Amino acid sequence: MRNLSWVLLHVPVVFLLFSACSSSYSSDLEVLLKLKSAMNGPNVSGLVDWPENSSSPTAHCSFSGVSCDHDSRVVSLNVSYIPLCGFIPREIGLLNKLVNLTIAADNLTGRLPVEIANLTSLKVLNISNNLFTGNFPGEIFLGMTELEILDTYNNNFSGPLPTELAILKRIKHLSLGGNFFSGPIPDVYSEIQSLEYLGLNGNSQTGKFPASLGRLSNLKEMYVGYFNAFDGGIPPELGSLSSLQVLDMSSCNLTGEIPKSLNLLKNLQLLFLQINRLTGYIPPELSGLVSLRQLDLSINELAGEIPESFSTLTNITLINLFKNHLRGPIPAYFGDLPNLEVLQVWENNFTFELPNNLGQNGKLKLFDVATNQLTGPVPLVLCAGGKLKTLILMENFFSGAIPMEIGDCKSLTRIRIAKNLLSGTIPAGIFNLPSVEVVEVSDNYFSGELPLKISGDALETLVLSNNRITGKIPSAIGNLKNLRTLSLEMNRLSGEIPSELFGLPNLMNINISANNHISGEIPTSIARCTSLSSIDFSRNNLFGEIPKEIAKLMMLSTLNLSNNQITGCIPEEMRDMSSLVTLDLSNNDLVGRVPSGFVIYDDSSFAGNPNLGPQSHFSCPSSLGEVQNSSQTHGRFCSPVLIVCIAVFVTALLSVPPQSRQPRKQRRHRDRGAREGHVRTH
Amino acid sequence: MAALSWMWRLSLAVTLGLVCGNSEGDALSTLRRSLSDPDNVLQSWDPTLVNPCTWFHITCNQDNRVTRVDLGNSNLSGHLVPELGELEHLQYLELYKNHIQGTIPVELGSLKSLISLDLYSNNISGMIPPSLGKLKSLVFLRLNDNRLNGPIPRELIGVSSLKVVDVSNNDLCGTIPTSGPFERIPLNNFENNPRLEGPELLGLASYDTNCS
Repeated sequence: MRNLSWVLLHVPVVFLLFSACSSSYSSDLEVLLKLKSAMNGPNVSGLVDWPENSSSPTAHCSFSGVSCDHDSRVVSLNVSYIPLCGFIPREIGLLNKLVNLTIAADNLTGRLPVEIANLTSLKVLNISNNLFTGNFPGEIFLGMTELEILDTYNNNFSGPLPTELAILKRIKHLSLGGNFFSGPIPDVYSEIQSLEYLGLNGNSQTGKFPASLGRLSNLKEMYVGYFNAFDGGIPPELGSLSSLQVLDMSSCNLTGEIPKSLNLLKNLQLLFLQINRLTGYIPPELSGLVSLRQLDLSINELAGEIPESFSTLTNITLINLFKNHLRGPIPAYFGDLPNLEVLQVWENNFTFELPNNLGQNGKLKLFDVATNQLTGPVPLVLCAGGKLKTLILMENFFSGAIPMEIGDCKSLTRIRIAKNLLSGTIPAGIFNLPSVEVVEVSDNYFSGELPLKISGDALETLVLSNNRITGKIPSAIGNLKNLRTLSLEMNRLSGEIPSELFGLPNLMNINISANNHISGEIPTSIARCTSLSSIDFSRNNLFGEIPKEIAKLMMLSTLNLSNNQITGCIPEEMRDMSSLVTLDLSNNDLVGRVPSGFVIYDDSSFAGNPNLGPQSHFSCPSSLGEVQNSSQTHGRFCSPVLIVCIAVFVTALLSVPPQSRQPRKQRRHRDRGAREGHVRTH
Repeated sequence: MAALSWMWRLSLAVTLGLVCGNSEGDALSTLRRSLSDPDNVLQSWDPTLVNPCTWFHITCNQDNRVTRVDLGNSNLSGHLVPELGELEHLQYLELYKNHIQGTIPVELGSLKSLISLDLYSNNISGMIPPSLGKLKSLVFLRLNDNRLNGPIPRELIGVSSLKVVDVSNNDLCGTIPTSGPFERIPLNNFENNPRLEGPELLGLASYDTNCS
């Protein structure tokens, strides 16, 4: 690492040498044309309005992105968001009057030429969103005394962060994030007193976070999280950053406690410390953060309660505390916070009841308290402002009814309140919300009937299982055009399955199991629902036969019709359902033989059907096209012959060496008692 | 700064997954990234959700562990990923009738709960990994209609639960196993493998095959 004095001695020499060697370029026009040629990668022809054959020596001043001074010297160059794919040539250093050099998002590659050091008038250097690689040549800054903005965000620079930045007296904006810079954040950065914005996020920084950075009294925004991995924790000295408005130290491996000295940050609006390994309590002193708008401490190991003192944080809009070890109540004052829009505290140990005026401020948008131990009623005014999008209460001990107001909350997109102690009728409005995608109210004590009027083009997932819902499945369920999953199992529904259900074009999973009283036949219209992947009608009162049309469901993977009163034969066509891997027809009244080709299922798939099996006296039609043995026999007198044949076959199996075996197992199940057209009905 | 927020959102999604410890969602997200999905069947696969259990085509058990992946006939291309082996409770892997290429990851041998492995009617190449012999619950192994080569691994003989094996319409070589579960598998489930030599002859001296 060269020392400062050596470089100061040599910069002018380099400059002289450079201008001597490049006497072939006499004007900025020629330099820009050289730039064009270098920045255009192979097969790229960008910057077409920088014509090579310009006659006027000042033609370059009207090139796009170029501004000149009164001497026709280039002072500003802005070439951005053009996929050029080339590189920056050394000649860039000849544009020594440049004040603004912005070449962002051009897909440029290669290393940064050290000749940029010549641009000693530069105030803005923006090379963000390119593919520059290598170490960053920090020495370029030694003469750039006017530099105010440096943006190298989102490139592929590696190696240490350039310490030379520390000598700059005017620099306000330093955006070095989104690269592969490694090693510690240099202590000397604490000397950059002019700094207002420091971005080091998304790098590979390590080491202890320098406490000295607390001296940056003009710093307004600091982003140091994501992919960095610091040793130790948040230095208490950061409380001295008196101008700070944004502190983002998320996802950078921080340990230890949140320093209470952060309460000195009177201008702080956004405090992001999520995704770390912070322990201890949330300091009550942080109630001093009078400007705080967003607080995210989620995904840490914080313990203790939400401080009572936070009632003074009247500007707060977002509180994210999810996935910690917090306990105690959700404070009553949360209902009084006038600006609260987002409250997400899921996966903690919160107890007691929610404030009953929560949502009264009319601004609540995202509300998630899942997986806690909350009790009591659901606040009536959660959707008071008509802005609530997510209502997630699942896995708690909430009791009472769902407020009717929720059924009028047209802004809702997700309702997930499963696994609580809720009761009463589900408000009919919930089945008619225009934007809701998920309604999941399973594992509660809901009763009453489903509404006759159902609509909703956005609803994809409807899970009502394990409740006490009675009545019929409304045919209006066929209005839910986008429904994919319908779970009604373990309720007390009765009546028939409406055939409208099978007109749903996107339905993949249907489960109406264990309602015990759903009756009627399986409609042949089931075949219309070609996207069905899983059908569970088990444990009901279904009768009639399995429609052969069911074999048209080419994506059906699971079919459970067990524990019903289904009669008739198992359609031969079902043999061709290669997608079917789980089949349960047990405990019905099926008759005849199991069609050949079903050998893959265990006996348990067919058990509990007294007249089903190889001994069955009933006959079922065999399908055409099955391989017929030429020595067919017909009639029931054949059965003893069949038994003898099988006995011989099995004996043969046991006595003959494997290689002479014909593994054609289908024989055993081939129907031997064909009586054309003889069909069983109730 | 649009690029800024994009990168943070992506990082958040990736890191949320990593730190949250929901490796099953991560594994599936990795699969999604290596598949091409013109029909958007994976649209609901939001890596920012707490677990993948609300994703369509995914089924979980009571403990929110993935038990089924149902993506048959979904117009998917691209390739499978080793991360699939992390789905310890997976019982049904249904990826049949797509355009998936590449090889069968050996990591699928770690899926100790697997009952059904349906990769048939794709464009999969390479060999059948012998690690599939570790799948002691496997009932369905359908790899037919692909471009698989190499031998049928002898390790599969130890999977006594196998009921359906279909490797027809591939480019397999060597002999067809005849012991263990293969006693029950019909010969036509091996057909259309031009270099497959027929049932192995047990008890005789093994002969040289050009297959390894």
